[in-house]
Amino acid sequence: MAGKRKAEYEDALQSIYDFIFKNNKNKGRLRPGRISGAAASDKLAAALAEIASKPGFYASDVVMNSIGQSIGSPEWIRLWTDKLNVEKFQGADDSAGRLRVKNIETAKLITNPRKYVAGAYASAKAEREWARKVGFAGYIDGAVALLWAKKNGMSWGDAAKLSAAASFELQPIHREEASRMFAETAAYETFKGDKNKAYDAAKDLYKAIGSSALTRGGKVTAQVQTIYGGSKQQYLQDFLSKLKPEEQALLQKGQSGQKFEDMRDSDKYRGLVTNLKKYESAYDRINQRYNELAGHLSKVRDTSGQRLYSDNDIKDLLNSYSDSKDLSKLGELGVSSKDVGKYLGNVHELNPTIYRRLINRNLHAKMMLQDPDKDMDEIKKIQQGMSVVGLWQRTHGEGLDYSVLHGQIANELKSASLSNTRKTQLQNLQKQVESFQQEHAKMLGPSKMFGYMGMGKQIPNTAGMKKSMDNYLKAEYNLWDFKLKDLQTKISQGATLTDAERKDYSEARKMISLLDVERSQLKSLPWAGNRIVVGQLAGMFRAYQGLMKGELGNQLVNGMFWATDGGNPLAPGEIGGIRLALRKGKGEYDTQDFGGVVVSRDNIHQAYSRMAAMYYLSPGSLMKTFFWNGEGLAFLSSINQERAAGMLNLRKDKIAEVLGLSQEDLSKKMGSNFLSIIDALRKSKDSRAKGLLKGAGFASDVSTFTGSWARFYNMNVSGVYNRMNGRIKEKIMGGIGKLLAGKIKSEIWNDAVSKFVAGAIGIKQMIRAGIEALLQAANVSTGGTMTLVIGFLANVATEALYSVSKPLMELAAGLVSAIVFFALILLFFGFVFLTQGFGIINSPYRSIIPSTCAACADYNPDSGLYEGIPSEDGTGFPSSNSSCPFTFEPAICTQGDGGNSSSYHQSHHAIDIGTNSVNANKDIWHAPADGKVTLYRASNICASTGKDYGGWLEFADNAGNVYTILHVRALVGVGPVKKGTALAVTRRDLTNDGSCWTGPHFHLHVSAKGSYVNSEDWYRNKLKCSFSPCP
Amino acid sequence: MPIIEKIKKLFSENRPLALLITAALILFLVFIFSLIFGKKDQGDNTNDNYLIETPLPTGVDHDVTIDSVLYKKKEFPDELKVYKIVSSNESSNVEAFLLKLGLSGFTKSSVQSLLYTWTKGNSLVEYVPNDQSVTFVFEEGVVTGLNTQFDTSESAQAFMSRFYNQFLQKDYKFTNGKITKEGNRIRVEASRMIDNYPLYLANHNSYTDYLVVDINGNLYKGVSVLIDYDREKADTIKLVDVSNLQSLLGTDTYPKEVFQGVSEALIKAIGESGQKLDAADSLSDIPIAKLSTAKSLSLVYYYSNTSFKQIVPAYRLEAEGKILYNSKEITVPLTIFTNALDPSRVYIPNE
Repeated sequence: MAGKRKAEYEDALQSIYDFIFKNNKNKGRLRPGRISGAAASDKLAAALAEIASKPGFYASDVVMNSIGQSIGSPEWIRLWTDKLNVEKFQGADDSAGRLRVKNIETAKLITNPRKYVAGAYASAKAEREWARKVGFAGYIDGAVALLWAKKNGMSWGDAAKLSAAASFELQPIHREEASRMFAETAAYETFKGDKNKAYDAAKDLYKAIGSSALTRGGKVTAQVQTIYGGSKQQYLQDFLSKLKPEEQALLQKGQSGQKFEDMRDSDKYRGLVTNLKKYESAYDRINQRYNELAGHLSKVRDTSGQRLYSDNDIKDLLNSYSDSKDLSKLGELGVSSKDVGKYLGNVHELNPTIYRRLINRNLHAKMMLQDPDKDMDEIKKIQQGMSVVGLWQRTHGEGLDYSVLHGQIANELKSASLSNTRKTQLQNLQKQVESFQQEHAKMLGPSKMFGYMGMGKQIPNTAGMKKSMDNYLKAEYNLWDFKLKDLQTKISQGATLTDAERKDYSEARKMISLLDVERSQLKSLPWAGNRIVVGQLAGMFRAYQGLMKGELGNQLVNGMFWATDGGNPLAPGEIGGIRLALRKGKGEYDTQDFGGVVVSRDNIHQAYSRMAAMYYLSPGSLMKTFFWNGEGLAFLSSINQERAAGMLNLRKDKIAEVLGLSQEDLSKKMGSNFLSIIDALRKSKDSRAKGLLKGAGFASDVSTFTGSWARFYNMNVSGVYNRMNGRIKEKIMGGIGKLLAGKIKSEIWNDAVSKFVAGAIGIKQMIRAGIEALLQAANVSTGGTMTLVIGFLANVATEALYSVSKPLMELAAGLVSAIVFFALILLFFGFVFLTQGFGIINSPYRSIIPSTCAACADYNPDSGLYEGIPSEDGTGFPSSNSSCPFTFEPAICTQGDGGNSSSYHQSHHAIDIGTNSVNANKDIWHAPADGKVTLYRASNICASTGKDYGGWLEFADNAGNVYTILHVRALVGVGPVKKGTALAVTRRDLTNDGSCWTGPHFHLHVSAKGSYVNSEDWYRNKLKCSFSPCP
Repeated sequence: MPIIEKIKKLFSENRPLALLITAALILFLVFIFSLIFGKKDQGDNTNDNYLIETPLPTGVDHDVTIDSVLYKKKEFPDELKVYKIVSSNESSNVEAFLLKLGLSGFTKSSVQSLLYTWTKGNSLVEYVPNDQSVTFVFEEGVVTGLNTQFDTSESAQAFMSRFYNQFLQKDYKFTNGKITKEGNRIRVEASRMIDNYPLYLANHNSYTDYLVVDINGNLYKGVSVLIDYDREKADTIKLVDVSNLQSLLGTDTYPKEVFQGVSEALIKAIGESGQKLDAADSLSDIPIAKLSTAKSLSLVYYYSNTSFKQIVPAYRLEAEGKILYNSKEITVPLTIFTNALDPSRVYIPNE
């Protein structure tokens, strides 16, 4: 990250901080303190940077559990909290990894926050990969969609619907990732000891598989075991072994020719036979596939021509690949396998759940290759985000779940074989835990520190948190320590430990070691620093967590907005339109129908893309943008607005009385936008109005948020333009006009101006002339003694005014320069607006984005998802697109040469690039070089009645390469064009006939020197276009 | 700078020479400017000898047999008007159109002034100045208030005329109205009329406009061609005698466009060859008939895009041709547009 950019972020974040706390400047007691040597805003900046760059990491345990419960697989969630934390960070096992990393990171955060922030941003791109890998990007997207929706005044219901629509949905890119991950996992499993070989093998296996063979149509694979090295008999035996005993008996009975008395048994038997037949028929195909892959791999040679993989290597690799695709084996990592792969023939849709499991498995595989001594940076990438949150979770209350300790102690106390010593130890420990718990409860008293920020419920008083956390760790430590000592006593007495005891012994040693480090870490934190850092982070993360778990998370994950179709989560069907209330002026609101924002599943991406168009949506960039623009803060204010609305509701009767409204009208206003009521109360001269705006906590909430906040987030560039135009015309120009109109009549003044311009008189004389002109205009007589008096007064006034005016004029000159500078900037951005045609939704916010978008410049959702496999082989996503005719994102190849039965795509080596999710004015095909449009046939249909294809354009570049683009409307006529000219736009109005046109897309093929060439290769490598691999 | 000093000295000593050189320089600059900015003589449209550029391609190898029965009983005029297209940017009309439909809140944008879009939610209006087409897709349907319960081609044509009159203030007449069902919606297609002749676009299915509505009068999508032409300054040009058309068509350089369609026999043959009948999949590999027999002949107006400045009369033939597909001779339908103007008045590029 360039230094300038970094500085911009820091400035922005500093201003956010100041904005948050500005209302507290005079309330020193409540204003958070500062850590010596570093501004507190740096902590906030660091934390915001963390959230922004790795949002997926910040889903709390509560959210994770909530999601886990909703998908019926709590084990899967434990995969995160346990497996990821322990298994993936191998250092944790010897107390040298995870916690050490945490300690280091925390120390970095506190000792040099500026550097820490810089580091966080510098790795933003890589971190986005991880954010996606952890699989929560969709939920985060949903969350930020909610931010947007709430900011725009949507009801919670509508906002949640929008969030649902904006949430995770698998795209071809994910399916592509899946096949890579299978290959990577298999390679890592096979060549654990040789990192380089594993990386190479991942790449080679992936190439052998082909990017699309595995995952076409969103299916992980048509069958659990697509490849199989065993015999047919083994293969069938595998099927039989998966049957329940009663099913095996049923099959045996049927095959022996016995009749079934019960019709249900007969039906079941038929079902089993069908499955068996599928199995039998699948074998040859599966075996053939196995041999194909083995053949590909056997051809891979090094530079000296030697085979890279022996037969055994290949066998291991392919078996491992087969295993990696058998998602039921994810059970090994604590995943419930009940829904996965009961029988062969089950089709595994690559739905988000499966995909995330796959991600976890892949992460696990990657971690197996890490060397804690050498690859700590890699480990840190994951740890970085978790460290701060982990600390917070431990300290802010929810992490200190004494019930867990109580449960553990109670369980052990139930054991019949408990020694008396151990029993006493446990009972003492129980008392200790109770006392700690009581102490902790006292500290949970409300703190107002973050209450005014509207971050949900008030956070605990952080002053005692360190001690409370230490207590908890101590209790946990004692629990394990006692257990270890008890077992050690047994060993010293010569007793043989049972298996369970041996496991406990090992676990106790590990836990003691971990807790020891954790306590050391806690002690190493400066007292004040801990309190403040934790406090700040607590408030912030709580807001985030509240968003996730309270309002959005539950609704998103409890299935309320998701239907299922064969295991695929679907967004809602038709959702009603959304009506936004937008502030038009003071006390006036304009409702706009955004009926098209939330739509059926088919159009989800369109809805999403509209948001993306506004915000260049990605979890990281959007969050940054939100906070950069202050919209994240606006969301926080919206929470307070709700509170204010609630308070208004309590005072409904009196408000109606003061405003002279009927109860019904007041209710309507409250329903549509309660801000108008606040405005009305503010304007009201009724003395009771102020009283209504006061009250416990209400005044600050309302004045802070519904006033300045509402104004704040209603400020927009277009508004500024309008206002400036108005001011310039009415005030400035009008004022100048009046001035000139008034003074032009004054001969004294005119004469003075002429002389001044000619350089004959100076500023003093000008002032003198002005005063005289004024006196003349005021009809003050200048004759007689008055002349002397007035002359004297004029001289005095002139001297006085001159002494004042000189610096004032200098100031004015400065101001004029500033205004000119500002006007130039406005003109520039105005020019950008005009030329770019920016703005998809006619919202007052649209204009904010281009000039202040924080993280949109280099966002490419397709780039660099896998640092393990470089993309120079052409199957990845080249980053440059110097001559690419299409520049939109995401560019998704929906069909390619040889990808399916489409003879046209095969014979012409053509590709389809989907534009369904591309904005209407972005789905343009530009001339990739100077050349000529040689043909255009307009047509309103794409059907099998003629070769019109809903519009057909041909472009020949000057080198003689001919580009054919179908399903388009030409933007220019036949004739020469320059490189970069917009030539065609995709049709969006054609009727889906199921074959020729199934949705907006470019059909592209190229012929060079009179022969069709591979269009995918041409567009990707010759024209350097970025698009997803073609299925 | 000795040279400049010398020049200064020369000019100061010899004023007439300085004036002369200055005057010469000014004249030279005026001459250069007139070359650069001077209007070229575009020719006078009233000149009977000017040539008209045809939008129809040349070099197409296709012979048509035209039985005199097809034209003997018909009356074809000796001459017809060639209309000059008025190239105006209709984007403000499109905005007015949206307002007339009671739509607001659309966000306008443009791409290189070649494409104008108005979007709101998933609703979209696109205007392409190149061919003056307006495409609109209204996701929710827009109330037009017009009666859409029609069942004849005449009533569909009348509906189109009413629609344009009411929402675009265009006085268009339509012909060749066609009604098809699209689920619960009705698709109405029709061709604009110019001087009682239908206007055809450069494609196989060449109706000019279509609208998709429902029976309650709600409009969902459509495409309209907003081309306008100068009715006052149109020139009347002599037409080719129909009886000479067959021999003229036999010449490669004679302007013509052949659009080949698909017949039942071809569908069957494609199926037998294991291919899928898919407009975008297999048709490109099907050979184009070089011989055909006309089944109908009519005089129409033809429009390609605004690159060609005129809407020109053309003969439209519906014909049947034969092709060899997988060693089988198969009959296919063809639509042929060919030049109707006196060839001596037609400018053919690269001729």
